[in-house]
Amino acid sequence: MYKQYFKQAWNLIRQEKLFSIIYIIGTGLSVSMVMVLSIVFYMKVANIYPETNRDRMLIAKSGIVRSGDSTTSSSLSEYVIKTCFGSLKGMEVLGIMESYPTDAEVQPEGSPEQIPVTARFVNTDFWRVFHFRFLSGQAFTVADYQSGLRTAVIAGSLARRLFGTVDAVGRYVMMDFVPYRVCGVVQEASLVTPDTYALLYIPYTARDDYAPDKKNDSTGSLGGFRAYILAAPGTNLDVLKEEAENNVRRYSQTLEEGVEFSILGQPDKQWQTIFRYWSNDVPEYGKLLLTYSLILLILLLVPAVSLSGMADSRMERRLAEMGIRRAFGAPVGVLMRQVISENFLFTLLGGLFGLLFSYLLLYVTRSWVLQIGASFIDILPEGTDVVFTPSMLMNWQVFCIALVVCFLLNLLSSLIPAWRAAHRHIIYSLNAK
Amino acid sequence: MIRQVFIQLWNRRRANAWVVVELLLIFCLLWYITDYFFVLEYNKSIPTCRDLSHTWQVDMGILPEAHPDYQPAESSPEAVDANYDRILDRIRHYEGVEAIAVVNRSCTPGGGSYWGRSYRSVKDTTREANGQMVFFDPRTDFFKVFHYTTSDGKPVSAQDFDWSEPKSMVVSAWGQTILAPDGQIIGMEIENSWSKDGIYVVKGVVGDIKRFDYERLQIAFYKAERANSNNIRNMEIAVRSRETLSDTQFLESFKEAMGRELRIGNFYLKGIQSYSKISLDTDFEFGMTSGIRIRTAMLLFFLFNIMLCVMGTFWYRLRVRREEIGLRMAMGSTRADIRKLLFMEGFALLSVVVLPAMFIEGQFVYAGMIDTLGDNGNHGFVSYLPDRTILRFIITNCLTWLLLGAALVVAIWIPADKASKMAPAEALHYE
Repeated sequence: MYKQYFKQAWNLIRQEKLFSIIYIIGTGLSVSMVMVLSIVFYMKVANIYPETNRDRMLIAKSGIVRSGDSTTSSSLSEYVIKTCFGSLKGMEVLGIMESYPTDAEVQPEGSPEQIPVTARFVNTDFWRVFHFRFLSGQAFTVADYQSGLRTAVIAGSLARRLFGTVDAVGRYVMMDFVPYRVCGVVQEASLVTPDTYALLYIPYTARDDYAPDKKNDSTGSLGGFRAYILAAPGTNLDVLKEEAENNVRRYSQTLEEGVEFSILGQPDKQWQTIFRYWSNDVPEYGKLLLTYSLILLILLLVPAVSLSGMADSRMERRLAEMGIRRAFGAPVGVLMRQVISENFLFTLLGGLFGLLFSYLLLYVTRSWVLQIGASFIDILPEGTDVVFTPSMLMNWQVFCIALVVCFLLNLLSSLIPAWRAAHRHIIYSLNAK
Repeated sequence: MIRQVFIQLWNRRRANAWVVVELLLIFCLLWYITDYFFVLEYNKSIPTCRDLSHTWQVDMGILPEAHPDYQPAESSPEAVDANYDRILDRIRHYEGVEAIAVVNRSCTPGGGSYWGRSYRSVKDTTREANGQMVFFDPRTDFFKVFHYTTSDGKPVSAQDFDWSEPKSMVVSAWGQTILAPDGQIIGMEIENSWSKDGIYVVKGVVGDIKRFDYERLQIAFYKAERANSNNIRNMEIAVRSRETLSDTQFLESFKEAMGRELRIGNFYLKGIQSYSKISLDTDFEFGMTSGIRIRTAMLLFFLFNIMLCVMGTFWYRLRVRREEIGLRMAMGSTRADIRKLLFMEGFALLSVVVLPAMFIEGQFVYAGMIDTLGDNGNHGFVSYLPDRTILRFIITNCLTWLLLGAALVVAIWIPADKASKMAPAEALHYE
C-alpha cells in the first residue's frame, strides 16, 4: 500500500515541478538549520578522535574557595585533583592537563622562521585517557614525568614540517628557544576537539616554575589544572561522580574553619562540561534546555506553517479524489495515513537536500560554528583550520537525527491538512472539481 | 477595490489562514532581529573622538636566557632602558611613521582588556564618574597616534597637557559633565572612589570614545605611566602610519626594514598588526561577529520561508482562479491591473497581521525581554534614540514591515506575472 502512496507522490512531484521544488527547498532549509545545530552538538559529545572515551569520562575544570566574605575561583591545583580524585573506586586513570594551552613559537633548525604553535602541558595518564595514534615513538614515560625532563610528543604535521618525516624520535624541537627531546609523534587532533588540540604535548613537570605544592590561594586548592577522570569499563558514571563529590566534601572539611571549597557540581559528564564557561558559576541546564528547545521549535515551526499552507492548497485540488475514495468506503484514518505518507516522500527528499546543505553550511562556518553559544570564541591558532572528517558528518547517529527531524517536520506540516482533507463532507469533496 | 480585496481574502480564509499565521509568526521573529540590527547600526553611527585606521601595534619580544644570542650585559635595568629608548627613536624616525606612543597592554585600543575605575570630586564626593583607565607614556603622543579630538572635533596632542606631576589626569568630556557640570574642571582635584591612592589633578579634557564600534560613548581617564625596565613587558608600542602609504605597503616595508633595525640588545621585533585587526579579532572573540552572522542567517531563513509560503500559496490560488482572471481581463483589466490586484492581496494580508504582531511584540518589551546593545546604564548625558522605547518600537516595526513587504513583492511577482500573461481566451476557457 505504501508503495502505491509513494508512486502517487512521485507522480505528483513530476506533475507539479515548481511547486514540489519550492516545497522540497522549504523542507531542506529547515532540516539543514536543525542539522547544523545537531551535528555541532554531536561533535561536542560523541567519541571523536582523540577524545574517544567521552562516554566514560568525568571532567572537573574549576573550583571555588569561600572564606568569609571573599570568594576566589579558578582552575584546580594538582594537589586538590590528586587528593580528591586520585583514589576513586571504579576509576581507570586520572588525566591531568593545564587548563589553558600555551601559545609559543618553534624555531626550526638553521632557519630564522618562527612557527606559531599551541602546546599543552599534561601528565602521563593523559595518554591513557585520550587515545592518540602514535605514528612513531611513544608517550613520555612516568620517569620522564617525575624527573621533569624536557620531552615532547609532537603532532605529525609539525614533525613533517621540522624534520621532513614523522620518524623524529630522539631529535630536538626548539620551543621559545628551549630544546625538547621528541619521544613520540602522534596523528594530529583536530580543532573539532579543541580541549586536546595541540602541536606539542609536554609533561607539566618540565615547566621551570613547576612545584607539586604550588598554591594559587591560601588553601592550595586552586591552580592551573583540570582533571579528566576515566571510569573503568562498566562503571556507573553517576556513582563515580557521587564518590568524587563526597571526596571533595570531605576535603573541604579538612580546611580551616570558615573556609569552604567546592567544585560547583562537578565533575561533569561530557554533555555538561561543554556548557561550563565560568569558574564561579553553575550552568543553568534547565534554562539552556529551554533556550535550545525554543530555537529548535522555531526552526521547525516556521517552515512547518508555510509547508502546511502549501500542503493544504494541494489537498484542495485533490478533494475530488478524496471524496471518491471516501464514497467507496475508505475510512478517515486510511486517508490521513495516505496523505501523511505521501508527504513524507517530499519531506525525505527535502531532508536529503537539507542534510547535504548543512554539510556545506558547516564547511563555510567552520572557523566559529563549533563555538555557537559560547561566551568567548577562540580565534583559531595561526595557520590552522578546522577539518571535519567524513566520519564526523556521516554516521548512523547523524542520519538518525536527520530522519527524526524529517518525521517531526512532516507530522507538523501535514497533520492538519490531512485532517482537514479527510474530514471534509463527502458531498462537498465529490462536488469539488 | 480595497474592500473587494478584503472580501476575496475573507472568502478564501481557509487558505489565507496559513499565510496569516506564518506572516504573524515571522513578523514577530523578524522584528526581534530587526530591532537588534537597528540598535547595532545606530550605535555604529555614533561619532567617536578616536580613529583606529592606519594604526599599528608593534610587538617587541625579549630573547630568553636560553637563546644563543642572549647577552646578559644587556639585561641590566640601565641597558634595557637605553635600548628601549633607541627602539622608540628608530621607530619614530622611520619614514612611514607619523606618530608613536607607548601604552599599557591593559588598555589596548580595540582590545579585550578593560581596566575600570571610578573617580569622584574631592570637594563634592557625590559627583562620581565610572570609566576606563588608559595609561600611556607622556613622552610619546598617544592622542596623536589615535587621532583623538575634542568633542567639537579639534585635534588633540599629548603635548597639549602638563604631565609634569605624576598625579596628572586627563578626562573625557562626559567625565567633565559629571564631575564639573559648570565646565570648570581644569585644576580640579579628584580621587579614586574605591581605594585611597592619593589626589589626582585634572589637566585637560578630550572627547569621548567608544570602547567598541558597536557600543555607546563612555568615560575614559588618561594617566601617565612612564615606560622603564620594570614595566616594559606590560607596555606596547603603538604607531600611526602616514595616510599616503597603503596599509599593505607600510606593513611590508616596516617588517623588512625594522626587522634588522630593532634587533637591539636582547629585544627583537616579534610582530606588527593593525589595531583595526585587533578590534575585529576582539569582536570575534566576544561573540559579536558570530552573533551578527547567526542573526543574519536567521533573518534570511525567515524571509525565505515567508517567500516560499506566499509563492506556493499564491501559485495554487491562481490555478483555481483562472476563470476569475479571465473574466477580469475580458472586462477590460490590463495585465498591470491583475498584478496590482495580487500585490494588494499580499499587502492586505500583511496589514492584517501588523496590529496583532505589535501586540505580541509589546508583551516582550513589557516583560523586559528586549536588550539594548551597548546600554551601559549611564543615561542622562546624551539622549540615545534606542532608549526612547515607543519611538524605537514604531521605527523597528516600520522597518520590519518594509522588509516583509519587499519579500512579499518578490514572492508574489512570479505567480502574478504568470497570471497576468495568461491570454484572456485561455483563461476564460477554464470557465
